[in-house]
Amino acid sequence: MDSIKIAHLSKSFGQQAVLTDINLTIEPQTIYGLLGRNGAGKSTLFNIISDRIPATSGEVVIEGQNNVNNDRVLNRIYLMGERNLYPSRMRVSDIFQTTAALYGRMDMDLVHQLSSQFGLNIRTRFAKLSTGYRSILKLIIGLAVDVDYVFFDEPTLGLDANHRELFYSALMDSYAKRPRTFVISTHLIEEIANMVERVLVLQEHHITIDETTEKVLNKGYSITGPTADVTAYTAGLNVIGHDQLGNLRVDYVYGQLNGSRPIPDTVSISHIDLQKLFVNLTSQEVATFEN
Amino acid sequence: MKTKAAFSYQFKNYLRLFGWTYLWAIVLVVFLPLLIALILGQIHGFSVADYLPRVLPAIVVGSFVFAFGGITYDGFKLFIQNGIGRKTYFYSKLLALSSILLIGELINVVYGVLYTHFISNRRAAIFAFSSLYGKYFNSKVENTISVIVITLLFIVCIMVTGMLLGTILGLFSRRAQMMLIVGAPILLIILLAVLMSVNTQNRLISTWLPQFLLYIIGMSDMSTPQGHFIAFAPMISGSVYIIIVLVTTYYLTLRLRVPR
Repeated sequence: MDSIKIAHLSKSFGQQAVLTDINLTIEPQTIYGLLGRNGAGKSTLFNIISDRIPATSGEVVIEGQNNVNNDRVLNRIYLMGERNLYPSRMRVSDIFQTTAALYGRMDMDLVHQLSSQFGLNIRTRFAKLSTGYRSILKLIIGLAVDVDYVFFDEPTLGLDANHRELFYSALMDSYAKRPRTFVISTHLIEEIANMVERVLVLQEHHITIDETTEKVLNKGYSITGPTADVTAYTAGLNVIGHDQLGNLRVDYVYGQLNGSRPIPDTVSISHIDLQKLFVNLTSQEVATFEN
Repeated sequence: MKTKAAFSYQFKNYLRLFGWTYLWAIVLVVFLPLLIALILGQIHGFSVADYLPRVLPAIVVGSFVFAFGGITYDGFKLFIQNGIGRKTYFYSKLLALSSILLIGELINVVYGVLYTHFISNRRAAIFAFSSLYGKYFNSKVENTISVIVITLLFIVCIMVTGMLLGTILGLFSRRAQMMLIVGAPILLIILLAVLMSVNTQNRLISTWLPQFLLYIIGMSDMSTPQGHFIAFAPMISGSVYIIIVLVTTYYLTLRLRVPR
């Protein structure tokens, strides 16, 4: 199976650059977490990959073929986006049938099983569905349609905790039965941290991190202790943020620690979770562009 | 390309909608007057021919291909969501609508034959264009074929015009669409008023424009008798118009995007 290769991809809306010279390879059979603050360009990147909008420059290629108006490429991709592109008067069952007809491959047993588990009434018209159930409809399609690349843009929008758990469980089941690539863009980082194999961070128009989750987490540290000892220990390291409570200070470091520097008895070092790491990595950025 | 799957989906969808359009047209044009006549107690004077227009199938097929040809953006959204690109969307829509057009025209011919023989005692021509081009050739077969071709081309012109307008609207936001829908007819009326005023002042009739218009419809001069207009002229001008509009629509379709 081939990877998606994104080369020198840039996108501007008028004078506003959203993506600048993105170079990225999305590998087959991998679960990605795409992280970025609001307005970072995550949806724009997804929209370009699925040919909903054109890139300003650069290209998206699968199997040596460009994605623009190329059914062979587009038919291997499903994007579950925040926007609702299904006809509002269409019934849920008809949306499933239409997807099966146009993609040509869809696990209808899984569709019915998940519809039942989520409590989705397939006789309802799309316009009558709540925000949560619209998301559920698209999630079910994303899990049941037989494509090589599924992009979930804010998949849990409007879903309660029970439905989110059900979705994560169904995703892992589906992945185990038919391994394929899932790229999940979400702000609920802690909920997906255990399932993503690779982490992509989109920041200041660029992909700043593209590594396995394990490597990323291994590079994140919290250094806790008295302010003077902590600042002395982290001097010269890549400190991405800090918390302060009285004289107690926590410095967050991304990257290698100085192995030759002795660790004071008053200082403790531990790894930090993905959400904390992301928040500190991107806290300096002020996103101004919303798409 | 996924043209077969896309065409199959579009064709089935259009066929269902075409059936509904026919049903509504029959209800509105035939049964509603019948019901009113029944309520008013005038049923004894009710003649089917009075309420069954000869042009009913032509109106149904013409308005259907124009309206559904014009609904572009919703179809594009659904197709791009389902992994089908703009080119396939354009071709499948064109093929599906053309198939409906052929079915509609077939119904029109059958209805025309039945109408002239069984419904109305007025011996009207089966095709509307017969009165203009039905006597151009010496052979009856040639005349019939040419009128069928002209009729088909005319409805295709209506269809591609709908497709072009729909695609243009699909490029704009809802707000801009409303402005265009409201503003364009107003601009046209103003333009028409200006042209009429120019006509009064400068005798527009003597310029090349009316001559050109007469030429493209096959009326070489004003004295051409009814039924003897040049049949090749609308075939050529219609074909040229269709090609230009389709090529323009195709390239505009490639510019559709979500979000707009």
